[in-house]
Amino acid sequence: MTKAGIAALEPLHESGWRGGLSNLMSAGFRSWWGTKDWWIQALLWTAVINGSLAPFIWGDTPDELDLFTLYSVMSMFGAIAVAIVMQEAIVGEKRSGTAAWVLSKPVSRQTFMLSKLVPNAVGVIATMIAIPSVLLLFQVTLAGMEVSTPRFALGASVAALNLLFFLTLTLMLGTLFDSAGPVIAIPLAFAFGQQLIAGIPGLGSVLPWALVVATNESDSSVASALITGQPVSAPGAIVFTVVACGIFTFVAFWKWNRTEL
Amino acid sequence: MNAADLAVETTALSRSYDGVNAVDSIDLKVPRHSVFGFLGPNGAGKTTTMKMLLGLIRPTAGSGTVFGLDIVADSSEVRRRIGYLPQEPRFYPHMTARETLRFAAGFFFSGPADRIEARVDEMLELVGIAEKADRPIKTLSGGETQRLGIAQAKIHEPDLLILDEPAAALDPLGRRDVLAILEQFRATSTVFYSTHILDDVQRVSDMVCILNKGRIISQGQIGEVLSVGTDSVFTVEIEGDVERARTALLGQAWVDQVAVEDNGASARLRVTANDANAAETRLQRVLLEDETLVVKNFAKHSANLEEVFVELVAGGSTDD
Repeated sequence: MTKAGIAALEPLHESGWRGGLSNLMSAGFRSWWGTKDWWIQALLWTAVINGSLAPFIWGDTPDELDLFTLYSVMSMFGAIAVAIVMQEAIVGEKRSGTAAWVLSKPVSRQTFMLSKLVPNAVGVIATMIAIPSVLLLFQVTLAGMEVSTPRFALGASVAALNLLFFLTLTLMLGTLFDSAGPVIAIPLAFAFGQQLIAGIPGLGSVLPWALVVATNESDSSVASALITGQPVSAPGAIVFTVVACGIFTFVAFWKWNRTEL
Repeated sequence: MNAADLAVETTALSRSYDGVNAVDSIDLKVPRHSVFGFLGPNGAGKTTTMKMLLGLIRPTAGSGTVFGLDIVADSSEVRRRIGYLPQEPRFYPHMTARETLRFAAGFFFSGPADRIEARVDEMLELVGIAEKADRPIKTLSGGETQRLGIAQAKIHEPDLLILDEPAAALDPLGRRDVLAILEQFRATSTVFYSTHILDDVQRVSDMVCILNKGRIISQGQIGEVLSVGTDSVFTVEIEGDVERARTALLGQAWVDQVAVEDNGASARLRVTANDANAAETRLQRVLLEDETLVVKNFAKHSANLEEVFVELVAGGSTDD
């Protein structure tokens, strides 16, 4: 056996933080789009969102505000699904040894983390928000309701931001803990616990909860207000959620760089 | 041996956890194109050392190089030149063996796709799992997973193979095959592997290092390690009055110890001398002075690796 076996192969030139980027990214996207996962998720969420809202759309007196308030509330369930989907992304690989195996290749830690963050974020948002929302828009239009597509897209983006909050939170927890228990329990506890702490003055309008659920301090959620063209009463929730996503992502990368496998 | 001849060199490489040294100031020297056996009981620090070379664990003190590249500062470049088989290889269960090798190749090569496929096929053939190439990983046996682990480590023809217990999960035939593969690797790579199977080390290794409690207790060419402490040990098989023979030998200034193994009609004496030359020339004469004794056999004792390993590890001796 000689080096001739690889002589005809073109070496990959990815170094520094980009080490292994193309291979891990394509593997990450393939784990969504190369398997049946994507259409199962897309079908499930399309059925849940469109099925639940159909009576409001096709009823005798469709109310736009009620419809899109419920639409944004439905996306809260997506947060739970995100925690379930993402719980094993880091912890599972740490425990099984696949992370150590992959990182024994010329792969940077940043690339490894990016390959968990980006393909999962795209997969989650596409299957849980984008595809069901496009079909909802189609259904609404078919029913003769007038909805501004840009405003609807903006509202759907806010619902997606809520999912990103839970995705980055779960990812960060995966780097901090070695077992799946706290990685799934903390996001779920936070998702449901928000309705309790949202009652604390000042908090209700900044928690991610306010993005998709009307709180004591706001008449409608940020998402439904954007879709229906009403004033957004809790803009602080957008700022807080974006900042929190940034912090969770930063901590996840920082901790992963120091993790020994 | 100068640094350019070494694939791996460490200087006082250490790793401690909560003040306990898992690896304690080791100075490894692994020559290029050697098959280097890394031995030690469980918890000796073998896997920790390998993981430090791979950048998966950071040293708490000391330094190391792989082909002259620093294992911390140049970790990515080091890993480009290494193929690694973990102790219990685990791959993505949704992938097949072929997809796993394609995935592993993707870290080193960008194409062409047909050549990568040819390389994947070559590796599947090499380790004997071509027939199961398109089955999901989760359906492979432990031995087949181990073979796949060797194939993925070798996919980019690395300069250094680090194999953590490569034959542990294999049956005797599988072990034989893996040893044959390791010997083939010698032509193009350096093989640094850990194992508990001492027969295998003695059969294929050029160099050996024995680690105990995080410290190197012996390192060198296999012949050197085997000769440690056995240069002055002789075995003599005799018939006659064993006790008289023993007394006669213990009366010699150059004899330290005589151990007797009674086999019924004959007895085997294991004589430890403090002067090997004196023992070699005079031992038989001393015995034959007693006309009632018959010397059936006389030989310098040759130890096997298991004896040396047990003696060194149980004795807890260290180089320093």
